[in-house]
Amino acid sequence: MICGWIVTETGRQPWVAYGVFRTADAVSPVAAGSMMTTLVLFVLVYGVVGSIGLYYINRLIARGPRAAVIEPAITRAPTLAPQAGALAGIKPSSTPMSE
Amino acid sequence: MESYLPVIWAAIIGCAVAMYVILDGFDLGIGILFPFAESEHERDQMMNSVAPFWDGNETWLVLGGAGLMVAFPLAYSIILPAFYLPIIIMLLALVFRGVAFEFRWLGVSSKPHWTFAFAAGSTLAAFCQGLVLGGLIEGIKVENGAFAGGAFDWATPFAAVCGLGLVSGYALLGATWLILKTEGKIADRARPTAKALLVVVLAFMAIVSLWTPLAFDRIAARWFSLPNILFLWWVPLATALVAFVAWRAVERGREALPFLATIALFLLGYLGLLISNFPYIVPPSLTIWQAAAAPATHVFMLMGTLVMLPIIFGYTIFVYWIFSGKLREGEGYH
Repeated sequence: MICGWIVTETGRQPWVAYGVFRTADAVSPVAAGSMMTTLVLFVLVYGVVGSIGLYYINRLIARGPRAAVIEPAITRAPTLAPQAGALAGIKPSSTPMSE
Repeated sequence: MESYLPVIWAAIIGCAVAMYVILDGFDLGIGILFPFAESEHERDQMMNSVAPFWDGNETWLVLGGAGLMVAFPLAYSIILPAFYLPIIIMLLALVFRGVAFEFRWLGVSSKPHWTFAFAAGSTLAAFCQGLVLGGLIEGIKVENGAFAGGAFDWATPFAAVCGLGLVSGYALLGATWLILKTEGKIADRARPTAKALLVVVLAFMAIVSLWTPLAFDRIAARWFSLPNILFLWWVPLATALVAFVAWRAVERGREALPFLATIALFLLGYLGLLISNFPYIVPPSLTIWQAAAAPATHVFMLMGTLVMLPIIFGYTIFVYWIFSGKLREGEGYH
């Protein structure tokens, strides 16, 4: 996906609106120093957060999936079961259905 | 048509920004309050109380910003370069706040680092938003329809005070959210926190409300000239009254009223801002009619928005309903 974006954005140069408007003419009145600072910050932040994310993902993959844990029924949910049963024409049983 | 379409769009964007401030206000507020929690377990509960909501809350900022670009491109092209550094720093802070939601659960030794990232990201993002707010009130230098100021025009004491005020305001929203959503020790400790923050927020609102007309003649003229003052005198009184209602609600053990009263406080502050600046979208020089895109653009985008906005409101209400009720110990995404 990133390769697609790189192709699009570099391929359209020097136009920002093809045949109509050049990138050089579309620049906002932002100081060059600010631009450079934020570009460096972006690269740093994305590099750090992305690397850490990749590390965590790899660690989770290495651990493998956990065995499924059956959660105990939440107290509010069973009220739906008799109503759902009534809709389907089934008589509600005396024991609540397990989640 | 030409004269009321910009008003409709200004109302849509105004509502989007108000929704953002209230909704992301409380989850940024949770982050701002993180350093004051007693234990990591308490911080887990605080984070879990906003976990189902924070993503959707943050999207209102996108609606506000993208709406500004679409409906008032001239204003967008002036405001964003004017506040370039605070806005980018806010976005990077939001990156750290956002990943902290997930990364905090993934390691034991790294948990304090992500706790710090969550707290610092939330506080910095809130402060930057306050800087932009202060800078907008001060006004932006415009020449020939383009931003003509420097990179640090926004760095003034007034903007810093607005930043601190917004940080405390979001913290108040977070504290009253905890009163509403949690139970036990956290909720009990959130009450004195909320009361202290009410005092702080009122103080900041008073400081900014007095500073603004003293420093900016156009705002003084808007509020204190006749006949305007006859229509506007009730706003500060209503603010004091709502703050009093919030205080009593916290003291009396009410659950939802503190949060709702804080929202009302924010809306009153927002109203004051609108009264000071309408119809200027780039104070002091550009009105919404001057900054508007072509009517065809407004109509086209309005058609899409009128379909999408009810859907967005619908799923937002749905998610708050599904996850309604108190957060019990041990409940959460992870």
